[in-house]
Amino acid sequence: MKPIIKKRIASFYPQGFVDSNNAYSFITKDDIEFLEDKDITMVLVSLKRVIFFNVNGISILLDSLKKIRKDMNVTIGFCDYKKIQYDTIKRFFKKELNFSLYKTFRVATLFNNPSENEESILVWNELYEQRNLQTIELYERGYNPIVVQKESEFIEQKKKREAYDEIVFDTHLGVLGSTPFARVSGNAIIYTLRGYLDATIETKFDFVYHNNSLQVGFKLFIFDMKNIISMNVRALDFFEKLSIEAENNSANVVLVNFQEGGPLDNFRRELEKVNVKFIKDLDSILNDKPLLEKLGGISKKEDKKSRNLTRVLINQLPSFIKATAATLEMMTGLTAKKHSPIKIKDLTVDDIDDKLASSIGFYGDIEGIIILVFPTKIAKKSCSIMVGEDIESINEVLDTLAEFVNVIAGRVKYHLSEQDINVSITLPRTYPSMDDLLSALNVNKGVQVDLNFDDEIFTFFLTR
Amino acid sequence: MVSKRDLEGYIKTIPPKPEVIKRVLDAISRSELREAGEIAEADPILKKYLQDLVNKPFYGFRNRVTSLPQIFSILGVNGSQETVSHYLLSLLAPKKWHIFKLNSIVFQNLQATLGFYWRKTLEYENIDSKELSATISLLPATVILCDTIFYKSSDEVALIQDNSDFDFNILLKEITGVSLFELIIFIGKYWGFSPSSLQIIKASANRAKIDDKKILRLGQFMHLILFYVLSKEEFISTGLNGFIKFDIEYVMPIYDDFQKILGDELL
Repeated sequence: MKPIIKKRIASFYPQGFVDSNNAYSFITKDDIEFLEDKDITMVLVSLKRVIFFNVNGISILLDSLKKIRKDMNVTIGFCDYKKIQYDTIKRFFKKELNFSLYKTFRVATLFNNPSENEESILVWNELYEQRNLQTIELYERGYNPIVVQKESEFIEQKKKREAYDEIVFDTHLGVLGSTPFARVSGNAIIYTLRGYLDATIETKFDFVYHNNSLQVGFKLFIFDMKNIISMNVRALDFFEKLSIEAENNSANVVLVNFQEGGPLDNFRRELEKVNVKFIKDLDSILNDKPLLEKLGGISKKEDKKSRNLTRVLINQLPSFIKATAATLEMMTGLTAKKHSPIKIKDLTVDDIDDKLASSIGFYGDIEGIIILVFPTKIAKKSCSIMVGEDIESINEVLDTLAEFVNVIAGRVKYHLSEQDINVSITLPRTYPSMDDLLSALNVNKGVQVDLNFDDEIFTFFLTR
Repeated sequence: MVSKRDLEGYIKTIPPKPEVIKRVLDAISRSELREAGEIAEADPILKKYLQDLVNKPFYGFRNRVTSLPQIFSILGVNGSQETVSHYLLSLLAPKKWHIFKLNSIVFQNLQATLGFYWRKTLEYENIDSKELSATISLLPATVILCDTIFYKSSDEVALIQDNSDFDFNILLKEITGVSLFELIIFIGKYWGFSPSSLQIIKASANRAKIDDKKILRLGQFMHLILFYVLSKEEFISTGLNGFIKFDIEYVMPIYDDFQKILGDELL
């Protein structure tokens, strides 16, 4: 059974019954091989459509997940279960609950992806250690966790559903993947490192994510060292390597909360020689706008001028349009008509109030960003087809829209590869409004194509 | 991908019920099973199909049986009607499967397995009806329709499958206005399946609005049987486990009874 990859989480969706007779077939050797070159940090089995399982079935699934964890250093677990299933799994593996349980897929994403908007998360777990661990994990990803200490308090808070962006309960964090956590703040990426830094950082660190971030134009990489006990010379090599790559891309590597005095002072001197910068703490950099801008943590307008559309990129325009229009036609059942002539211009969208947007970058033989602006009605229809059920909330639409943009980018990649043009794709981003899009992206001039779907105008914009 | 016009084109290619099947079913309806067997013996493809199907383990014959009059006598009226209906629907099957990793043998196994649990269910529900026995043959036919309709778009289907937990039934409905189950109901009507059978098929697609409680209950059983069977190792490897979405809430009213039907099997 092929897993579905969303938000760097690969999920298997078995349906029906899981026991010792069939569990081997849900995650096969081929499925594990399929995951090997994928950019993922978590692998889950969703139980939302499993009506029956027994201890042997779950154990077999776990064996496969543990193999994936060993090979790929990812977090593993189950999601989308009912309370009775959660209690049953905990009972089955009472002594060795070394995998994670996430009430829903959305909850799993909170522990896997950085916050985009400091969302408020209500946290409850009957175990004190789990409450703390979950709160810390969420905080480190940039969320605003609100933990309650008593079940009665949780029941009261849960009634105020609208006060929280998400509620985390019936969730257990087992052994986590040891990849350092990354979050985005403006135009800066902040990594949180922990424990003893040695040669293992080379395997733990998510170089794919880091290189993607460099390629799409992030200029400032901050490493928060407050939880570092000590480090050895291999960690020195690691930072040297990152700093050289950063310099090649006009970016900066900064260490904050680095321990002053003692043996680490030698490391500091060595790293300063290769242009790694040291700043007291996060606030000292994030609250100092001139410093932040100097280090590349704020987008600069002059970058706009240096990034023009290339002829090669424009030559590939038919591939982009074809992939986008065909995918939208497929997902809406509507026929696309070209609404206006193709023009190189600033992104211009009419009736901005009822629009959602998304973007995805690509790099390699050619590089650029695709921006898609959807009428909300078209977005909902397309996303409903992808999910297989009606979607009403904008957050759900945006989540699915990201995957939809991934499909389009996947097709573009395929069309380009047929012409021997190889590109890699970044993670998609979505925006609940045009204002959000324009404030998040420094949008240059680009090629705009408006397509008419049943009198709704959809905008495709290709830029660099 | 697939348009309404494609579906209309496909429907036009569906042949009328073959003459030999009409005659066999007519003899079965008169309880003339020997006559039905003799008519069927005259058609070598039908004969081979029925011999292969009924000698599968789920039919429970200790020794291989080859004589069709004998086979029909053992199966009785209801079993014969069901078995001949499986043959009728298998006429729609593609020569080569594209979306699912199936072949004629595995597909026949699917028909036999679904038929086995459906017969047990009708027995549990004290239902003795040749029309309702034959209903189960329409269920695996939805898999045939799915492969036949989507195979030209298999690249696009693979792309959607990579990125979303989707449902072929809903996908077809969204892009053409007609779902797989609605299409099989149309074909079932054309081939003379009873209105009750078609209503049960409608109810077996989850969340269908059905007022008749008996029909609804049988539809819920059929939905659960489908996923019990598609959870078997043989069918997971064909890609059928995710063919449409399993609706747990929909089958909860009959789940305890289904466990009783399965008995020791579910341990």
